[in-house]
Amino acid sequence: MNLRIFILLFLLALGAEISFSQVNPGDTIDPNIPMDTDLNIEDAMTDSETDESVDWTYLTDFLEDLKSHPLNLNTASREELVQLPGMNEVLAGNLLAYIAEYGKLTTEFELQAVPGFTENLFKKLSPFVVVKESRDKDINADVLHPAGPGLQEVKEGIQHEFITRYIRQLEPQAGYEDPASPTASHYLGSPDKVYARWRSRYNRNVSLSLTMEKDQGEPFKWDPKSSTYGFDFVSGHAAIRDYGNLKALVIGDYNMRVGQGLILSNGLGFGKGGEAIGPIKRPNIGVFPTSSVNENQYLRGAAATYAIKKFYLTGFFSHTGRDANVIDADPLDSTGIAEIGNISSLQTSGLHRTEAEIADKQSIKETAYGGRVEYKSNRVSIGATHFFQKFNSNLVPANRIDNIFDFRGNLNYLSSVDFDFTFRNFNWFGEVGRSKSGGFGLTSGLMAALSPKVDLALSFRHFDKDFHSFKGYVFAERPTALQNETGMYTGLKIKFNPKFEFNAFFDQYWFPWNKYLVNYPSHGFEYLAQITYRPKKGTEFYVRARSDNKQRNASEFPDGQQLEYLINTQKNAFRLHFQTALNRNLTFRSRFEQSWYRAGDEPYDKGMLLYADLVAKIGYKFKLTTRYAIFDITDYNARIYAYENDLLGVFAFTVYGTSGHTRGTRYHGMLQYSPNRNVDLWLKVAQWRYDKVRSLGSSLTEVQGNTRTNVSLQMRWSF
Amino acid sequence: MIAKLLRQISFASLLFLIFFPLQSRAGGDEQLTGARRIGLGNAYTAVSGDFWSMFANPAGLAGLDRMYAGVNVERRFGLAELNYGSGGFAMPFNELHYGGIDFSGFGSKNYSEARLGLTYATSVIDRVRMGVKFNMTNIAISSQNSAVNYGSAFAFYVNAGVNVKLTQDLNLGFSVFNANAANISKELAYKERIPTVLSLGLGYQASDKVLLVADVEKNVAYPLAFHGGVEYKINDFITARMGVGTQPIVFNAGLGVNWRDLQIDFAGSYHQQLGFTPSISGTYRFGKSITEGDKK
Repeated sequence: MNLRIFILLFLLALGAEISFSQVNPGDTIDPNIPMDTDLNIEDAMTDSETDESVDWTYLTDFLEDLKSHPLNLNTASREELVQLPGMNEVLAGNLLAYIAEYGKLTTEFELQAVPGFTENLFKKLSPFVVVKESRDKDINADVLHPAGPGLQEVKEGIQHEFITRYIRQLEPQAGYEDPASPTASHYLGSPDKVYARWRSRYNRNVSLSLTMEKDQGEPFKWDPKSSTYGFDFVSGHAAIRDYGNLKALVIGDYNMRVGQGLILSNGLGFGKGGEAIGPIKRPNIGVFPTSSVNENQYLRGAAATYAIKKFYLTGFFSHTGRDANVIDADPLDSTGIAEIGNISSLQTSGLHRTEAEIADKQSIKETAYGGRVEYKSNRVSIGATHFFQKFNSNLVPANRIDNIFDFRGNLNYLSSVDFDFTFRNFNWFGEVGRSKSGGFGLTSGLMAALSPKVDLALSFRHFDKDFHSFKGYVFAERPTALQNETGMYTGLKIKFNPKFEFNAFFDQYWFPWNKYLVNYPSHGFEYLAQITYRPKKGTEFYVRARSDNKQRNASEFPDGQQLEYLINTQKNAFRLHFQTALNRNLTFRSRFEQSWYRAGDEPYDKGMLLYADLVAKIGYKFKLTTRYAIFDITDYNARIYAYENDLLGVFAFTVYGTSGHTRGTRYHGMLQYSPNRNVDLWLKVAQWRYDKVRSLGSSLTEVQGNTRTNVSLQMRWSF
Repeated sequence: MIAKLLRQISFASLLFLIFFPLQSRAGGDEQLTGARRIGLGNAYTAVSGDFWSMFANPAGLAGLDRMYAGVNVERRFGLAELNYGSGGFAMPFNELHYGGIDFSGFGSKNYSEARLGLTYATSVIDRVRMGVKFNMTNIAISSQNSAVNYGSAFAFYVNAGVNVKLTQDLNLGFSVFNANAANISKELAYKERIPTVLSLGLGYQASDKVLLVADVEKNVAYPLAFHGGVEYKINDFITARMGVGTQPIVFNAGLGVNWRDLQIDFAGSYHQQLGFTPSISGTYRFGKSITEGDKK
């Protein structure tokens, strides 16, 4: 039953725990759900090659929408159904076939008569769905595209929400001290991180939002030259969705996620991990407004999707600044092609704290526009997308052998065709695209429910070494760099019985051209096996082993020196995880993880993490979350990621072992207080305490002493 | 004598060097036979009641319902010099005792192996199948320059295995290849040992359509290897398979077509560096079915 196609939805339930236990303090949340989500977020993190934090705002929002406005199963489209937690194309197809054959469902419990709908799935779905009689009796265009709510309805039902957040590290960092000389690099702003968001919504149909953020160290000022208007980052949108044939209209900041994300995606999705089946598929969402604070992943302008029967037409335009270091800012560039000087790469940190960082802020402009046509029916969808992306500066990476096939210039365009077919217990999907360079990219996957107990996933990807997709994000070894990779993934999930579940995957991949610090074509493979045991409701125990094997240069010689051979690297990890609900109000979690990394025949680097969490609901108004963790990690390569509870809307991963040999403890306590239905308050205090160090960090981030303490405050007011 | 000559550079020994760390290994080593087995990623230790088991775990021959004859051919990495062919015949003597004879040939005129095997399997113990196989193998090496002939060597070795039905759905298999640690040559100066290989496997019949298999295998000369595969019976005629393996890393896929008493299996194996190996086997069932004495 658990071919989870809408990968992200693993998160939903997690969000449910964090956010909705506050909204409705009396609700009981199925403790099984957050466990899945925890481990899948962690997987997403572990797998991304960069340590960039991912912004999960979209998921929190989506979840809230669903929870406050459950989906009516009798009128839901296949596309809506697959987005529910635990659902997939096959199950959605079964449900639609059931309704077509036997008529509308009369109660939610009737779901259990639909093939594949088990009790577990039912439990997962129930917070998000309802069964209601539909107004429209016949299947016709009105059902396909029901008219949206009227102005009066919106006026009465609109909901407003204001969230504000404050985060600060207590120990002063070197960058905030007065600089030794006026030209020396230092942080221009205060160490406070401030966030505020206003949002007004009516169901899914109407959304207005304004988000403002200032990261730590960023100055608070009005400086249009560097696109700074008070807060360092300001984002907003006005959007309507599902108004008859107008499926979406967004003005302001938005994102798109089409097909399998080969050419357009918002860079969110799970990688390889303890759930072996679901992650191979990326949900095809289309245009959606964003109120996230990811400073690199948004489109700014306007987008619309209009439906003509089963055809969906989308057009979009975006014009926004991007951070980049302009090498030669002389406007009279000798080539005369570019308006401003060349850049060597785009910057993605989103931090603008020092003079240099501010100089790079929004220093170039990106213009993107394109269109999409999609045909959708119950079991088939086919789409074609094309878009242009243009910078007002030439991207000219430094010449190295490993990047000679990388994008150069200021214009790129991509076309792609995507498909998604469901046939009986099989779901086959994929996308093939081509960039301006002529390079091709392809991704295709098959999910099969071979039997009620066995699910199988196969996924193949190939990206030419000169395929250029800046906004793509698909299931791959390097999901953010869809270039120079071929891979084959096999995933297997066996549900022996309701208590025992087994997940395993095996992924092999090739890089036909050099990569950074890999001076030859290389290859690798990765596998994972996990056994999960759920002896009773609320208790879960799993054991996991994972191994990732790659190649890299034998050692790092100075620049320009010829490197002679590649060596194999291996990272292994073993994890024991335990969680149990001691009673209705008290949950205990604990984990042990050990990791080993070695390159060639060098000695192993090792990492160890052990933590225990206690989550306590105190009365109806308070919830306390605590963790105590101890770690000992000999090198960054053996680092360990662990998900950590945080403020609503903040999905935090803690990286243990960020540099060199580190050991010590980390602990946090977070209190949530909900005095009434409209107001929620959060306070979190977290501290690192390292052993045997006098200072932490380096240069501007250096902190004297061996502790780092973060205090976070948040308030949400909804009405 | 052979051993000494092996050290000389010849096409044959080059071939050896290429071949050594890959799909198969040293001379006389275990050959992966049967397109069904290849399709399942070579995880065949726990497969039972199957004609092709006698090439993997001789215990699996027990449980045959009728007489079987089969042939298999494959071309390793698409190279004619690495052609491999095998075939055999097996039958139940009664519902407790089973026997089979098989042969295989590998290579080309420069380097070739020929092997003949006799298998006996029994299911006298409830839920346990046991088997033993006697192999005679001959390895011949001649130079590319046909004027020189390096000669040939003979070896005798024994395989043995058991299959245990743990539950109705779960099968455990264990087998040892070259249990007697035979050498290719008896020359004292250079003993080329035929590797001994131990395999431990699990088979899980998840439904009447789905079979899952997994093996761990230890070849004395190589690190521990893992193999795993899935078989899915699409309908009565067509079966799809896929499998993966380490040491070396391969991805395999296969298709079986079942028509009356004839079964044709196709498989392909993809090696990260060496490329594609196609194989095909045909299996024919005949004679009358024995009574169901071994269905436990």
